[in-house]
Amino acid sequence: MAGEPVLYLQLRMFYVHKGAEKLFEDLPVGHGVRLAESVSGDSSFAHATAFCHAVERAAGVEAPPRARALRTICLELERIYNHLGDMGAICNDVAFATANMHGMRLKERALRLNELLTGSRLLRGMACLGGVRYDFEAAHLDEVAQWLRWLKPEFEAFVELIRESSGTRDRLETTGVLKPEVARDLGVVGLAGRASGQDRDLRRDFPHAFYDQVRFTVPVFTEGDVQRRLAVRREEIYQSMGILEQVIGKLPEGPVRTVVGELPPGRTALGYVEGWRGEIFYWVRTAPGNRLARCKIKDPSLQNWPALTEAILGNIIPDFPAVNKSFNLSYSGTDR
Amino acid sequence: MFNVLRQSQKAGVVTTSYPATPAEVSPRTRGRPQIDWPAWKDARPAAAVCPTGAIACTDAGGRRTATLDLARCIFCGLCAEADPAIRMTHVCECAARSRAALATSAIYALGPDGTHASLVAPPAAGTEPPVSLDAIGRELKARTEKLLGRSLSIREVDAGSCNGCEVEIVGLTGPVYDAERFGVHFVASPRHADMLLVTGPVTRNMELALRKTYDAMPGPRLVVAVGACGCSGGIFGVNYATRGAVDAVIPVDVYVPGCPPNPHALLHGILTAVGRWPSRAG
Ligand code: SF4
Repeated sequence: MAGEPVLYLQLRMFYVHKGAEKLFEDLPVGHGVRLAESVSGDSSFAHATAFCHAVERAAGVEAPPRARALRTICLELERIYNHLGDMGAICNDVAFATANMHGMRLKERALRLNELLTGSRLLRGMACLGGVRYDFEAAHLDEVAQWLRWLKPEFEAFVELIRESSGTRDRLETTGVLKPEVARDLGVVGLAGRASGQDRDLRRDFPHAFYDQVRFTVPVFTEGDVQRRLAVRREEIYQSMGILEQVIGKLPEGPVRTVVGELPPGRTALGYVEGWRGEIFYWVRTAPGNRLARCKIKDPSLQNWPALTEAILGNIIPDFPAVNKSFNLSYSGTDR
Repeated sequence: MFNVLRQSQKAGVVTTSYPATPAEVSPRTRGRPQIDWPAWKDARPAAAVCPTGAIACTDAGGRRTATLDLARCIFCGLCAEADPAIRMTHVCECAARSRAALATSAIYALGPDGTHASLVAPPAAGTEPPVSLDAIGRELKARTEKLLGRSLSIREVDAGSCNGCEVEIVGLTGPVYDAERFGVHFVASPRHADMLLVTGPVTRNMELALRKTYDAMPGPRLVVAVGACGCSGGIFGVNYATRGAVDAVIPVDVYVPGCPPNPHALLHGILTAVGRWPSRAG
């Protein structure tokens, strides 16, 4: 540091390393779903589902269509509640506290919807091998539709509130720039990548769950500043609302869970999910006795952390919180 | 500017009146599990599906000691699916002043097939330790509560959590739960704090940092362990990378179970720690 601008940022990670990967080898494979929920708490459902995808693939079974659709609903709800919170929090870091309060107000309604649908505000306990644990009945789907009708104008007003705040825009534009070349070289993924020209989204490129049955666009910007990472979130919420409507409109009938029998030993499989932060991978190798010999987890935060050290260079110290929040990377997901 | 005011006015007051009114829950909300102890026929199926060991049993000499430990429970509801004698309640406020108070156990005589033949010792809820053992202790507690009663500064420490607890703790600062109603606010340094709110199984890499944070606090000070991981180590337990529960590293005053505890449960725990929980809500 020399005066205000940041000259160098060094990351010191792995303070919250808690041996999760090793623990997967000790637990019965069904319990692994609960452990996966606790790898990165704000992506509980995405992590658990990526783990389920891997184990299901190793077992050679596929979740029934209705389960895949319900997984998609939960994944999009997870995206929406996190994006809402982050949009407000980014504004908060440049002293627009009112926007944060509105963001948290909207997020709270999303968390309550999660609880109504799955019994947990963070969608925990919903994922399971072979599908999902709870079906959504007509009344539940009605609640989702009603919530969407409520959210749309509220979100529109929220977006307008931020757009009108010239002071906020002033602080966020050209702040924390991650250039597309740098993003490409570092292999930055997810929403941070898409704000820096990396046009990748597993939901579109390698559809899982129900994503091949719905239409949506993937917002991409090239400026790579905090403003664009905010904009990616904004656009993704619009898309997610559209996805939810489509899934509810064509929800397949049938069971929400299929039996995953004893795992054949010595198989390997990869499971993945595009979580709200980016792509989440679980790679498993099975062992005799319905156990795992190895479970490798890759949270999108892992390769995105170095991007923060690049994006912050030359920015002033007071902008650090906003730049950091615009990436909002997971310590726990990285450290595992 | 006008739009900012207009929108605030349009949103109106969204703050809950909790704890004056009960926690707002939905029919599917999973709170603490409840066991019908006299009707419990076999503890083994529930213990087998419980991912954290919150339900556990040990057999010796034709008897079985079966335990439900809320400090470990992640409220997943798998036990209730496996066993008709267990049901999930909506109750999320489980905070207790001692680890022992969170565990309940009973002893059964076993039949030939390993099921429960009869209830020998009915469940004794783990007993709360006497609030303080002597007059000095009682006085100290009263003084702490008086000192910290009106305004409470909290330093939050992530000692290894998955950040699920943090999602809910952040909720306390929002307009809905608004902890500032109680004079509770979050500060950026342990030097300014009356209470340490600790999440996560304490990782070996955070152990020293947690100790130092605790040491840096001025007295009187309180520690609240948050979540299944903070209370007991949770699903991570103790392994090569974690030390488990917060109380393995620093003394804990109140334990708040949950995975994560929702903002209601957090408020309950925090207010319990400073003796401000309204007696109506128990
Ligand atoms: S609800 Fe609690 S006791 Fe029951 S299975 Fe889940 S963790 Fe175990």
